[in-house]
Amino acid sequence: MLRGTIAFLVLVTCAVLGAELRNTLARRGLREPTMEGISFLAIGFALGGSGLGLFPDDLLASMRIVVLFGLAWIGFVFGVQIEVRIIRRLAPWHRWVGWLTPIALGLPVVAGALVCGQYPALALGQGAIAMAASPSLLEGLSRGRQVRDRRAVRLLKLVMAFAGLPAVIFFAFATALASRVADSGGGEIPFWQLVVVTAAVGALVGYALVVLVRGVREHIQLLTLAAGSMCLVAGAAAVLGLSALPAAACAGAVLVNRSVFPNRMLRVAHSLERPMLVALLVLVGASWKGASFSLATFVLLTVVRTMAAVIAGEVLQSSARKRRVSAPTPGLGFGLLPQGELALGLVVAIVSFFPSPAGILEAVVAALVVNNLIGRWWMRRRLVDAAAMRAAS
Amino acid sequence: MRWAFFLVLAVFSWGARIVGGAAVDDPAGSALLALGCLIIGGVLSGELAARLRLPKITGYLVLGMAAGPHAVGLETARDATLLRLFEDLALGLIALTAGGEFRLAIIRRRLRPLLAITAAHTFGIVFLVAGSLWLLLGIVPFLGPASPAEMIAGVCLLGVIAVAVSPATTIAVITDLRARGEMVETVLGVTIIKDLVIILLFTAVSALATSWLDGGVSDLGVIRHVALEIAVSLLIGGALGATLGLYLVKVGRLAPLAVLLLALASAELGRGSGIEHLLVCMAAGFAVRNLYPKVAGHFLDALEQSSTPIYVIFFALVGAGLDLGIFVAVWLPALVYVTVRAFAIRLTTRLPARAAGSGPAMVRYGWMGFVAQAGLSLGLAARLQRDLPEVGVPVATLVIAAVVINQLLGPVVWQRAIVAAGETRKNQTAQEGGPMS
Repeated sequence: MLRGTIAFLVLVTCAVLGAELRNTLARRGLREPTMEGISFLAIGFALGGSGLGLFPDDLLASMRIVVLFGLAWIGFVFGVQIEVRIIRRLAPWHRWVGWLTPIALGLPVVAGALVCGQYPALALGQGAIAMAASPSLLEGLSRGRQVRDRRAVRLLKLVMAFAGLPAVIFFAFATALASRVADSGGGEIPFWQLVVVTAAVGALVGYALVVLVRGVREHIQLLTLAAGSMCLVAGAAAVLGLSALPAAACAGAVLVNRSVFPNRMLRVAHSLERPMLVALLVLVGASWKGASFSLATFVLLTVVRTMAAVIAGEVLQSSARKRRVSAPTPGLGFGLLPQGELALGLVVAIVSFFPSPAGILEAVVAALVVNNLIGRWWMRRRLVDAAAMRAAS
Repeated sequence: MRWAFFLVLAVFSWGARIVGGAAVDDPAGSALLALGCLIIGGVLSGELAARLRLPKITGYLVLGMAAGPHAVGLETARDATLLRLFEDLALGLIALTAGGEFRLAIIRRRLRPLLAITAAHTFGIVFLVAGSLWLLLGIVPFLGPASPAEMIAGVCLLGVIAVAVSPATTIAVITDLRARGEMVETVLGVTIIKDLVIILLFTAVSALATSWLDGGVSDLGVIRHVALEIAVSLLIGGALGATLGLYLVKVGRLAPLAVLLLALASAELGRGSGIEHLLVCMAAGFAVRNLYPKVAGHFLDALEQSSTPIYVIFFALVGAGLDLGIFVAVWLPALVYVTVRAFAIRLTTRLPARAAGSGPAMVRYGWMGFVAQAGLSLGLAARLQRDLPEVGVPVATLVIAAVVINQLLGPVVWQRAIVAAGETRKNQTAQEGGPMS
């Protein structure tokens, strides 16, 4: 009877301690979203069936609505950041680099996964995760500090800002392949049609939201309408056997590009992003049944991805040098390794949507830790002036 | 144009459910579709209601009724079961707001009217409603072919349920109008105290009726048990509130998540146990407000600012649960019940309020704050149906029909009362000399 209360009290205590720890780390310049995300996964694990047992299966089953909605919201947050007018303003070279570099990170992982015998949907999903590089760590490290090579930092930020887009497109294909109604999954609908349906669902709800928010100024009213729309996206995706994340990303992209006040919608999306991500991670952690680890996935997302990143970095540098966009920075590809919220969102989506993803969560989380540690080490060494960092801290 | 797009979305979700239902039977997805329609439709109908000078929650309720399983069926009975979580969460947040509005200073300042009105309601409404219905039974046998003992038990229980009000509706209208003043404070206080009293009173009368109809001896142990459950609910709520307050003081980050978790923990506690979810959250809100006054203001402001989604979800789901079919079947006794109840409330509010020295606004309009009935009354009716089927079934039918009227009428008259008493924020700003003063 008291299980819920104890869970609440333990969770609050963990959050208090976690926040204190976070503040301490932030003061030392160590803040990064991936590590925070992993700490929430750990909290969920500690509270769930494998730990204190405070989240029984029936409670977790009733929370599936929250998981579906949370994934839709993560997709929506990503979608509202895709502003076509900003992309159009970039020079064609920047656009090509922004698109192709993340794909260069993902394709070797997809190929490797297929060679290891994983099914195509899971291979594509892992490729999407490999593409999802995040600029959060770089921004955190370089903010307010002396940077050795501003051009290199700008180049990395450009690539990472673009990285989510091919990642989500890849992921849309992966989820269509993994769908229960897809042709390859025993259903009758070709997977490419499911991709089209995913985009259509997102576009329809996104456009309806554009009309619904017209003339609405209050933040909470906008948030309510956006939440209702994301419920529709998540629900429609679920009953049609699709994943909500890419559909919601499509809705967000339509909204931000057709809306009169795109910045307002961006604020709305961000206001619920963090609670949703925390709730998702805690729930995924709580539903973790334990002790399997996909070594293949771990190797693919660390070793193969790092090699791909180093090669992509070299190609990027040589192209940049020809155009005098950047001075040579040794091992630029290591800067592409850090990952953040989108990668965590994608792995949650894989765990909750894909058939038999045993061992994937553990391997991806371990790979994220390794990638971020290597990325951080390189960034501190090559991009950020160590002396200036010491002075700042 | 916005309504047209809402209709497109509603048709889309209905179509998606039919197309997808054949291949993928996902109850969570279906429930989310229903929730999305209720939220978007609720916001639009709330705006429409406000344009018609009606409370927004009336709009949410009407939309819920139209979309619910008893009408169009955008939300099915299976969806309603899954969406219980959201209803519980919203109720928890509303109860937290209600508890948070209840300061010790208010209790001290208005102790006399609070006690006088609560006592008058507890005994007066039961007596007046039960007596009138007893007389009506001679003309319209709305309890069916019942023995005299069953008739007495039935009308007494109807009288007790007539005392119940809807704290959620009361607080929702207050929040919507940002109302402050003597009448609002007194009505809110009585509503919260009555919430405790009604559970005890219902249990006592129900236990007496059961033993009487079974020909046995009254089991007063049940009342002791319920009193203990209430005390435990309040204690747990106080402890949770103290913890939440400590969290807000020490950390402050992710406060909405902590509040949601509190509501969730309380709902989880209430499920399958005697712990009252509403009381736990009210006590928690009360504890935060009175133990940590520095952070409580900020916390309540945040809750008030986020009231739109909470109220839309809660009242749309409440509306979806209201069965118009039952109302049509017993509309005449239901109308009599509602009229007699309203008269009894008016009488038992005006007299004690005047005697306790309340202001003219409270004496004149205060009764209108006690008209609305919702979840608590339906819960009591359901409990009666289960525990005392002989009289429980017709009584529950009548209560459900009456709740349909009271819940639609209650917010409207309560809003009128607040406006007439001049306790809306707009009125107060005007009295203080405008926003520049």
